[in-house]
Amino acid sequence: MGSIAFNHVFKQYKGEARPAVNDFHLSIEEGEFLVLVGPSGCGKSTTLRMLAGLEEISSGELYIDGKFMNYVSPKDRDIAMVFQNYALYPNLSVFENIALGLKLRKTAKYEIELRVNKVAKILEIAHLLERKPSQLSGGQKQRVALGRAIAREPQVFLMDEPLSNLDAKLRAQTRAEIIKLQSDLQRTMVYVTHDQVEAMTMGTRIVVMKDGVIQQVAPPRQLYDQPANLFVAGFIGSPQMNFIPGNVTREEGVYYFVNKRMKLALPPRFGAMFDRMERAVRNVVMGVRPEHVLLRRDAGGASEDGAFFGGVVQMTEATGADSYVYVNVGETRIIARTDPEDLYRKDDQPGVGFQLGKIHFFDETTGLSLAHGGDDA
Amino acid sequence: MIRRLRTIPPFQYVLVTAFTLLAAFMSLPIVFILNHAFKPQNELFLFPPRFFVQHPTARNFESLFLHAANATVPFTRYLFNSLVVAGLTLASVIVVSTMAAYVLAKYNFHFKQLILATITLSLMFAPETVSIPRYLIISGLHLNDTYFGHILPALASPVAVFMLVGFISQIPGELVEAARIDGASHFGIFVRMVLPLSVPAIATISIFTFQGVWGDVETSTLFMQDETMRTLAFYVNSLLSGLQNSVSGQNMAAAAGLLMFVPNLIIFLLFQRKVLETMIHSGIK
Repeated sequence: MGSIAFNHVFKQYKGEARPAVNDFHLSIEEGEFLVLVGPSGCGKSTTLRMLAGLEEISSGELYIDGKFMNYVSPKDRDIAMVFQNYALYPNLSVFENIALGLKLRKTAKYEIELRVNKVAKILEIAHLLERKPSQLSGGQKQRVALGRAIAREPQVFLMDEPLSNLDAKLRAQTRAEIIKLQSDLQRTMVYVTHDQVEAMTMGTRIVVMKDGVIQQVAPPRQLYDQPANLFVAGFIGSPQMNFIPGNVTREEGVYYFVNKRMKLALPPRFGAMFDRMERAVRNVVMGVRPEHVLLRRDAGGASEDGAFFGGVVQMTEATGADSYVYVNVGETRIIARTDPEDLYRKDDQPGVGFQLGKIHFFDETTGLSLAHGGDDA
Repeated sequence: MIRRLRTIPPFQYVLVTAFTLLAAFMSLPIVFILNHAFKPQNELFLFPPRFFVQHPTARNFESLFLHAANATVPFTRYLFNSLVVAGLTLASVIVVSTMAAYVLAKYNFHFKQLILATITLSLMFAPETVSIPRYLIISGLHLNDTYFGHILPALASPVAVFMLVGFISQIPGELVEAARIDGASHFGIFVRMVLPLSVPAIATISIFTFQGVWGDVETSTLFMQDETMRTLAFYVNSLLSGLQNSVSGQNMAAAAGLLMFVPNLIIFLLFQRKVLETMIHSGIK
């Protein structure tokens, strides 16, 4: 119940050169919390809308519960959807909003009462049932929209950026509630967002999309530790991963990452990986997350031979728990996460190093991942 | 209240006064019609004319009704015809226009742009230019001397469709989609969502449709040969034109003028309140 399979699904809008969704091929297991994430225009909403039956599928097949769904109308797919702007029926009361789906499915009256009241209790909106949507706050509207979806007890929940109209605090709170709700209900949930924090915290599996193409499908941790390409590496994580272009060279059995300002001896495990690829020298991009950048006060541009390079602080951003230091090493800007007590000021000249076990290498031309520091070599 | 007035800045004070005066000025014709209908014969011809009635009398109405009773068709028949025609036209224009507008606003289909363009284009025709085609259609369908002959020409109302398309387009598409997922049929969405949310626009088109039909003499003149099928507007019109040179008929004309005007006013007040109410409570925006 509630499994979904996309079989090479395309969406091509008339008069547009490239498909909005390009070869979306994925199966979603029953009870899974799948998050589709990507920048706006990446096709994530279109995918969701095809799943809901609101958009036609140009080619490919869609199965829900093993049943072919391409031409099944939205109401017969056993799904419920929560929209970004809530889409509550303004002319109906909260009760009627939640009850409409049941009413249209000819549910017995007492059962409608029962279910609506149960849902209202779960979402703590029992006192709002008589109100009209215009009399509700944003957070309350959001709850009603959720309630409307839950009351129907569908096999699959679809959510299209449901939190993006809420303020930051309410968003975090509702996020937690949706996670709890999903684990209580044990129903398949497909959730669309452009917010990588939402994606990382909510999904059991995340699909990163760009220009209609799936970039990577992985659980959150794996997505963060082993991004498949430069796009995913840059999209997931805030502030974003530092990208440092350069070459990999091999000297006397040791691999080095080299560019104008840096020469970094790589641990043997990278050597093994590059050996396997049988290409000793190539243009690469080194990726390092801000928390894996090391700053050392005393280095001051001295020990160029080892892991530390001279940098100049451009600015610092204190977020409270952490502070982020923007350092220029030559032309390259590197963001480092530091302890907020460890104060760096503009024009300070710290040494910049990297936790070599945590760095990533990407092919400069294709953008594909070559090696991860965390990989088992 | 006085204290509140004092807090208004001087410019606004001037503005409010100016607009109040303007509003009073605009209402003069209404006041005049009301007073005129109750003036006795001698006051009607007073020179210089007086605005307000001195000795109100209901004699004008009496003679209007009596005059009508002498004619072959009683006054009440015209009134009945007018009510039937206005009621049916209003209802059918609302049904047809809202349905057409919903489809044009929320669905995509072939030639949609062409249809919209045609509707916009038809707004530009003066009513006189379509009289002859209309006549040919009505007589071709053998609708002369039937109520449908009155209703059909008003049924296709480009202005109403045009306005409603604009209004319904503003209803968020997600609302329609949510209803589809909830299991509503196309007609169900129309009845449950689109109609209730379009009440302000429907009220507006009701006002001008009613005014158009209530005052229309074209259908009665051109399509109705049978006197019993003609409307009040036609009767009053012929009364007025027949009485142009008659001094004794002026009182009837004054009374008839009021009778023609009152339903317009009622409809306007009725629907105008609805327009405001719905805009406040709908919460669309």
